[in-house]
Amino acid sequence: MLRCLTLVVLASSLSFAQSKALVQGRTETVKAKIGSTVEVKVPFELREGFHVNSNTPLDKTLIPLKMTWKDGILGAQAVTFPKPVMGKYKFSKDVLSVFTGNFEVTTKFKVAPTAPPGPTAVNGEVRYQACNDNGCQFPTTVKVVVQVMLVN
Amino acid sequence: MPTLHILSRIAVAVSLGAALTACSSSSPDELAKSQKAVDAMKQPLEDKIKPVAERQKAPAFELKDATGVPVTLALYKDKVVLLNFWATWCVPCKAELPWFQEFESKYKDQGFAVVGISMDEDGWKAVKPFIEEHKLSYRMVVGNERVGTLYGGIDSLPQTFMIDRQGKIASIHTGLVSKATYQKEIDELLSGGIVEDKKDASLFDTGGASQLAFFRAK
Repeated sequence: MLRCLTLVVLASSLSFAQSKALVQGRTETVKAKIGSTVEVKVPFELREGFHVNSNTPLDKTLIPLKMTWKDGILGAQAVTFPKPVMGKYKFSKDVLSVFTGNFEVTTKFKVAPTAPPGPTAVNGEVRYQACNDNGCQFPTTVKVVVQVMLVN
Repeated sequence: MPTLHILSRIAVAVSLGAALTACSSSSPDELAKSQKAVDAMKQPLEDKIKPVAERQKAPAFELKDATGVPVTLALYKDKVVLLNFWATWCVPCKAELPWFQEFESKYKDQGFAVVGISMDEDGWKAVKPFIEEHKLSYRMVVGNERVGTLYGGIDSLPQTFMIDRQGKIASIHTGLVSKATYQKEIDELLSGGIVEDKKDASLFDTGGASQLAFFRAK
């Protein structure tokens, strides 16, 4: 009985997990030297059939993909996005600058020289707006977490 | 039987991994809302006009237009109304807007009107320049979550409700629909769709809201 209940609860969670158009992919723990600069690649997985506006959409009314990081022991210095795809869709006569499939966003962090060694995490969020061939989801924000191991 | 046990264990393991992933990033409310949006976007592109007997009242609302004038569905009594939820950031929505403009110009003398409800978070700041640039002259209002909820939860765009002369929802379209489909439905609703139940006089009351979920589920 307990097993069945667990299955129902977990199956329901699985259904929810599949609902966001964009999710953070499996992100490896990053090893970083205290006081150094480190590059962190965050993988994202987009649901099949969906696209998101790139960080530089061609139309000013479209909502760009935006990544922000909370300040902490690791301070974000620069965010680099992949090269967008120039997509043509049946609902628009114009080409759209989008990301599709799986892609990575790279952030350069500066590790504070006073940071203590050991495990820590950097937290951020990505705001995106996704569409498929039929319609669009409302703009959404997804939390992003990267585990970091600080070493001397 | 042993096979079933193995499959169950695999399902549990897979679900556990997925559940942990889900819990790490979003609240259940957010996820449920998002799931609903994805499901809605999977629905068939084109719904058909409901038989008159199955139509439910369009929920009443009051929203202001660009000049601050209150807009209600009661203003459109005895008219066929195309009620379109859209946003300036929604590219598929933009494909439909010129059609709606054309439809209103063509059919307004026959008792047809378009009401656009923008769901832009920035409200008129985003909408005003957009409607000026695209020369949209039909009635436009800025919506909110409350009105979205009245209409069954607007979690993806565009969504369009065709409302008959009796103030009842004749069809719902989630996502981009062909111009020909709208044309056909407007023609059909303007030429007929008379409700047999004459006792049902209060056609734009709030009672429609509670029935709408049932209507959409059918």
